Amino acid sequence: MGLSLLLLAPGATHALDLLDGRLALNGFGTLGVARSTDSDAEFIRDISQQDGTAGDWDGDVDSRLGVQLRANLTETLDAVVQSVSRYDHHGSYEPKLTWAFLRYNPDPAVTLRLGRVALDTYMLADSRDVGYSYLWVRPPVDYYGMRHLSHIDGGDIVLRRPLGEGLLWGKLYAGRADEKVNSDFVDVVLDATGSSVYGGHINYDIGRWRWQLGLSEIDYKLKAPDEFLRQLDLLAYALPQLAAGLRDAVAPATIQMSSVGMAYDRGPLQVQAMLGQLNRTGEEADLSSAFVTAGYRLEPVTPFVSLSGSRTRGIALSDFGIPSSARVGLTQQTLSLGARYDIKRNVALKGQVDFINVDQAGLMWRNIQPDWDQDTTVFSLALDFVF
Amino acid sequence: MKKYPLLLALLILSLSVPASLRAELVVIVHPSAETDQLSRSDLINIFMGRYRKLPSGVAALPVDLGPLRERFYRQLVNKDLAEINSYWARLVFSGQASPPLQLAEEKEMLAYLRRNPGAIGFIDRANVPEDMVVVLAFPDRTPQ
Repeated sequence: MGLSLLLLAPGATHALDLLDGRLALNGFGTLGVARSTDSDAEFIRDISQQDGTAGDWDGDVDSRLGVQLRANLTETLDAVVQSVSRYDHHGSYEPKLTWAFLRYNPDPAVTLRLGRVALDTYMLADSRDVGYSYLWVRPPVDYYGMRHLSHIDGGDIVLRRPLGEGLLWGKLYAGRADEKVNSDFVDVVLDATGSSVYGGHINYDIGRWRWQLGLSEIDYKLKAPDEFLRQLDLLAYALPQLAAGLRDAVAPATIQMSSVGMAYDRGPLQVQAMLGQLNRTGEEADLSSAFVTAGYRLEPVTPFVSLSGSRTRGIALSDFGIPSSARVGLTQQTLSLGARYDIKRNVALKGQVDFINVDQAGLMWRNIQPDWDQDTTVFSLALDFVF
Repeated sequence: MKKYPLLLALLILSLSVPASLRAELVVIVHPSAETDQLSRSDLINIFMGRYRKLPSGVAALPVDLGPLRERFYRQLVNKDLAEINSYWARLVFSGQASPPLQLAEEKEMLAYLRRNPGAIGFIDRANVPEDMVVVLAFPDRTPQ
């Protein structure tokens, strides 16, 4: 459906302008397949996904479709509604309402949004579903994979002012989450509904550079199914420390997130680099992550290379009363090589190979088999489009 | 001419390039925008949706003229249309900003500029009407 609309699209960005331009319908999508070389652990794109690819071609990891309807209400007020369908925690493509807000621009220096708004705790986090907007097949999993909240019910405000030769701008946001996340246990879906999120970021755009510093806090409330909690009660007889540890993992917690992002853009060359830190009670689980990507456009093809990684100290399994010297946490690194080919207006084809080396798999892999060697290569192809 | 092979080459080149590609692109506003000059970074802020305010304080309303769009963005930020569309996909689908109004014809654009104070467009220098103000002219080369 998306594709046929797209092929008819005459405009540069707007496929359908209705009511004399007061109403605009746009969309984006990705048809993607990914194949990992290892059947001992399933590769997923982010922790919201139920399962992923393990030695087979999988169309669910990256495929998605989004539709946006925007209405200009007055010169300074518009309304945006966006829905996205992607493979989720239930293994379904049930569309989710990702944005639904009123946007008020009383002055070019101020933008106020109220309703369900995108959560951009990290640079580019609010466009990670829009494959057409970036070079990779998917944003670096080591960096974005753990950040599953895409929106909040609340609002945000952006203030801008020229400073020197550049532009200084900042954003503050606050609201409540309403999303669900898969756990690594079969049929256990955790519900983050009601978690409060607040934070902001400050940016400086000058010439070819953009810098961003972001801080945010989540009062995280994860609701686990009653059945799961009952099983923990049973587990407590055999492995009390493990049961307590698992209970802790779903107990309310405050998480602080901070990030520094940089983007450099000079004609055909683009470079992005980000550092992120996620802290929660108990420093064994503190997560540091980073990536750097560089691409160089040789029209119409843009090859790129990307390095990413995430680190936790990890919790020793022996702390849970399990006789093992291993630690659980998330520590892995990825080298990605790929290219984006702009086939025609608003359509791009991408290929990418990820060489992933895992030390602690965390929640970033599903159905891990005991004899997994923790090195996996993932091949991906994607067709991205907008209309 | 033997002394000036480069000059000769340029002359031949300029004769062989269609006039539509040689013409100078300029950026114009209506006098009601109360602006007579813009810097390249002002223009990037306005057309790339970062900060749409003219130095006079009037809100800027950028207009893309379809047939010249490719040349304009090449001159402004040295990017092709695929990159510009990809940039806008990010801002549109994250609900941050909307791209410039897209118009297909020069006549339409000029009418829009006359109707809306703060509207800003680009045009070939040869076609600038008397009632418009040129706020920036692009040097005849691609920026780095």
